[in-house]
Amino acid sequence: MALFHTSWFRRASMLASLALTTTLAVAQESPKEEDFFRIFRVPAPEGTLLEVGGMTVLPNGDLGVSTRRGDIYIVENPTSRRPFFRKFASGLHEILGLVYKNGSFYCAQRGELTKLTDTDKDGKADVLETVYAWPLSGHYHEYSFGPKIAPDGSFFVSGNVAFGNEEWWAGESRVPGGVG
Amino acid sequence: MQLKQPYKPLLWGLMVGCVLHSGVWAQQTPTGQALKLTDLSAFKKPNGSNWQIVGDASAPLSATLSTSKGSGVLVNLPNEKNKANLLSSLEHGDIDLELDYLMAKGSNSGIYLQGRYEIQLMDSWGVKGAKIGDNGSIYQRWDDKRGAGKEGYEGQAARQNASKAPGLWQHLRISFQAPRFDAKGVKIENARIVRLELNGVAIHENVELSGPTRGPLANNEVAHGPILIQGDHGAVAFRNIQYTAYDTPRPALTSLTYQVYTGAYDKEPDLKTATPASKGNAKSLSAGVVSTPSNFLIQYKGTLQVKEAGSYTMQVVGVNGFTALKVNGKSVGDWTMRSAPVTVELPAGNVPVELMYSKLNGRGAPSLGLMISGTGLRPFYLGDGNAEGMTGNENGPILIEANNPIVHRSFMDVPNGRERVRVTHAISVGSPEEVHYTYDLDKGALVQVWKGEFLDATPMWNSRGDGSSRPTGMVQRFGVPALSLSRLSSPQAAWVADTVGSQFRPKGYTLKENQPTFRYQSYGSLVQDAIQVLPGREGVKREITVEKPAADLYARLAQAERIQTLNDQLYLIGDKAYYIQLESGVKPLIRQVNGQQELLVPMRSGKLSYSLLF
Repeated sequence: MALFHTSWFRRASMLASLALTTTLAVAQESPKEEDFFRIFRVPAPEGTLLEVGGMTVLPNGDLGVSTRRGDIYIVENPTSRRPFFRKFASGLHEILGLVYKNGSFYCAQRGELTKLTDTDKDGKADVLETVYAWPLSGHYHEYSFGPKIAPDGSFFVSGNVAFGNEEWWAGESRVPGGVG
Repeated sequence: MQLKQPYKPLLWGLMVGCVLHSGVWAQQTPTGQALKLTDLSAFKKPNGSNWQIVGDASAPLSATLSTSKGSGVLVNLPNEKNKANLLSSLEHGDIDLELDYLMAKGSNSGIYLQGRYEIQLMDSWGVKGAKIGDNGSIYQRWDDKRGAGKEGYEGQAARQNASKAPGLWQHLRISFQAPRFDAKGVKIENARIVRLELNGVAIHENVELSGPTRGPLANNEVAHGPILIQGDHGAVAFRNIQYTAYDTPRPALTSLTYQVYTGAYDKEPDLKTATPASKGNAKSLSAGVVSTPSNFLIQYKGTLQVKEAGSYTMQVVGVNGFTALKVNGKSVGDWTMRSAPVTVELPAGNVPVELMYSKLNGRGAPSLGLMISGTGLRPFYLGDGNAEGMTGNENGPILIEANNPIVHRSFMDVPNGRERVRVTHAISVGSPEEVHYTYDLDKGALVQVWKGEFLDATPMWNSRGDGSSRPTGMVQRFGVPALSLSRLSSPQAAWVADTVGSQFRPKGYTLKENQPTFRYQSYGSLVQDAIQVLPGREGVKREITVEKPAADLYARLAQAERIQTLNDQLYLIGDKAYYIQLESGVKPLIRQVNGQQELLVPMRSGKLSYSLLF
């Protein structure tokens, strides 16, 4: 299925460049990210594979970073010249989203929303609690994103649908109430 | 024989037994001949009574191998007087050999191909890594003239220790290529182990054997020789000995000429009027005659020198392109993007062959080859090497090592007959002791245990990925995961299959020294499940604790066609596949359900501790 051969990473950059082209048509000079945001570079230790899927700022200014390879880092002093990368958790399933609330991290793995807490204060998560697990078919496209925390404290997670080969456009979801 | 996708010539190039990197459990049905084990007639009369045909052999974690009457199993029970080696009547050259064997504790034997090159059989249970004398290793050569302490040389240790415990059936698959000699009988090519798999793990590939290893039948090298099984060291049993002999000489592709045409050929062209951009003679089949990644058509013409008439199967392999094949002037392989293997009857002599390869898109470097197999002919490949044709997605494997205790979540596929089941909430736990396991968080079930290397995460992390990883060592699987705990209204009641009935709810896990204790709710009770590596790498120990268990709660420890009680604490599961060891005083229940046996333990006490030895 050639349509889906592009990785979603590459697809994201394709979309970005498409957007750029559209803007070019109307303006002489296209606005760039730095026209709207200040961009900081956070130097990571050599060999760290980031493929970042989630970021959150902790109350003390530390930066929480989750990666596709399943790690959660706490970057201490992220805007300094020598930020310190602490590996808070590892071995999680392609995390795409990270928040911090009341001393715990919450992240969406492929099949569940997980709460991670460091109870013995050694800098690493030692309680990884399943807040809610949802069923999956195991299709590659079933990526789960989130959570987002609503003002009332509810957690929202979104899930990509799976698609089979014949009627891939229909999508399918095993999540209760799931839509395409 | 199953031929591969045309855009994967790299697999063809290396492949002998079709067991691919991507198909860890790609179990092959043996296509070869069985060595008769109803009596000893398949062997030369041994010089001792140590070799016998029996119905079954057992050595449950024991140095003594006991037998039962019958046929189908070959055993060696050596003693001081009777310890002869066994020679097959079959004399083989190139051969695929596959067999099951079972060793007594501490035993030692070996399979000598052509009576000269030894694959070591050894009880290497518990050994971390593998040395030259360990199970599956290629034993060293020996020369007294090299001087004291230096007599032993060469040989090759197994890549990893893929051994099972004594008393369990192990499986060996060997692809062997005999030495080649010229017309005068002078050796022109060394013998080699093309591939060797122990218990489903490739532990040797393409190992050249410069000469006979220690203790051969004779020191010369030959085109054909018998299989020798070592009989002088220890008790061992064999069954299901299957082989495919490859004695048909390879056809050679000669007098090759090529013509290259420029343009986007998406239909089979009539080249009579077209003018080639370049042409010439070629020594071998290759897409190297073009310098652009796309918009070309290569036509090769050549002569296949067939030494033996018979039926041959051919497939053109052209990366990301159209191919076509003509044999004897007749189109046998249609113009297609996905070529399939075609079987043709070929006479002995020179057969004209014509190939076309047209590539329109720029993906992958041009790569062209031809796969040929036939009756008594080991499949072989002519053409561009593996690295050519890489599409850019074919990065090296992404392997996860377990140098420290490690947990990793991924999808995990388990075989279910010919299908596979994808475990979507799997977590794999690795140890530096090289004993690992996968747990299903969605069922509270042990999915598999294995020894050796930890995980291959390439399917998950290379490119887009599919979210799954695979064990890379010797795996013992436990079937499609099911709940470990169930309430049974009577000892005959059906096991609860779904998670709704038991109000199963995963609660995640806690980590201590990076070792998880899994937590879930079942029938409203909190369950904790912890699995640890046993000392001596013998297997794993599992401890389940249930808070306030119901009186009719049971744990199911195993489900298999056969569960054999060895003593009050030790049970042999399946076809002598693994052991379960209970704590003393535990009274299990073995019951028959739908032709399967189940090993159940009442959970009234809320505590269960048992070991899996494999």
